[in-house]
Amino acid sequence: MILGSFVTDVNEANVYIVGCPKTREAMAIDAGGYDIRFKPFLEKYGLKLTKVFITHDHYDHVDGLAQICTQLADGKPEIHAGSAHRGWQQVKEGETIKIGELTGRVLETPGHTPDALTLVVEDKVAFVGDCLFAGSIGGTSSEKLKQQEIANIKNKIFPLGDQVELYTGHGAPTTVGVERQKNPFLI
Amino acid sequence: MTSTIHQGVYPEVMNDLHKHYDFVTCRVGGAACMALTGRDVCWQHLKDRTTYIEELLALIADGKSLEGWVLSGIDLSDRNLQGVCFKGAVLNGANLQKTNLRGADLREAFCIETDFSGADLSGAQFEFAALGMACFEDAKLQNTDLKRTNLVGVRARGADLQKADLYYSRPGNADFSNTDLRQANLTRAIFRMADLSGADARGAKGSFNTDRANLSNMKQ
Repeated sequence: MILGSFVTDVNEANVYIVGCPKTREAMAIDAGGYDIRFKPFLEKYGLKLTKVFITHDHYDHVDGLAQICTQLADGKPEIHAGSAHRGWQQVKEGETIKIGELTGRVLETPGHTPDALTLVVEDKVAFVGDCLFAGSIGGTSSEKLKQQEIANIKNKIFPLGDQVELYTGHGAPTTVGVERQKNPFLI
Repeated sequence: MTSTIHQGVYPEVMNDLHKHYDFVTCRVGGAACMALTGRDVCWQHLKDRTTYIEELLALIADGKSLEGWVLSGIDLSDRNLQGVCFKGAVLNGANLQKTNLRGADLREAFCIETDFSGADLSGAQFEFAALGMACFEDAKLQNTDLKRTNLVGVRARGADLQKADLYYSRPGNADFSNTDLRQANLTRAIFRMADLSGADARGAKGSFNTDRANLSNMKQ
């Protein structure tokens, strides 16, 4: 797996690029902003961006989408998200998305937003959007949604295994093990 | 698989900065642990540990980068690794007690439960590193770049963090008791449920979150 992580200047949201080392196909995870480092990264590894995965429909995760599509993917990448509006391909719990020979598995993890998704790639890394952060959880608009988010973290993300690396929508990555044992919102 | 780090494996790694993400598992230990770079087993199952460390130190002495290397569990305590490049490396559970890592590059590294106690990390760069549950007790972290780091559950009691940059770091549920945080940049750091008792944060910059943190005898 080839993985690049980029902090954008849009609310310091992260954009990730996942590439298959065999086929050189690549997918962007979230698109909060466009960064001039994207293109050199793709070129360095000979990657072709064919897909975009949106963890949730917030401005700091989608506002760079149009530019990413035109600048990096000839304007026509597949766009996978938790809702079908804007012409996106809606994906649901348990569906898989191929990135070359890599397999991403979709988890529905609503709470921060109703359409929030997590993508688990090769059972080794998970892109959790704003559902979970290192030492924190995503903001919610009600206590009920907060409890829904916490339940999704505990019932869907924690069972992935302590070694699984979690790449969040903002801030540094973490692991299931660290968050399960020490996240002050979850213990 | 080549028998030494020098002949074959090193150039291969150099050409792929993201080697860590191959997730090569230990031949003996199975999926539970990743194999060391240049070997097909993890540290726990490595028989020629002395040779491995000697080769590693030779590479470092030659000024080679260890970017993206998997070195989980390795014992490099008390070694002089000043200025080493561990960018994006995996050092989970490694023993780096009292190691000289002044000016080292550990950006984007994974150091989960790594033991840095008593280490000299002055001027080291950790931006975007995952340092959850690592130990920094009595470590020297003056002028260390800890921007955007995951510091969840770390133990840093007595650490010297003068002028360290903790911008947007995540030290939730961490032990920062009796630390020296004078003139540190704490802007947007989230110390939720952290222990800052006895810490000296005089002259520290920025507003930071101390929700449910222990601030007893903290100097600000």
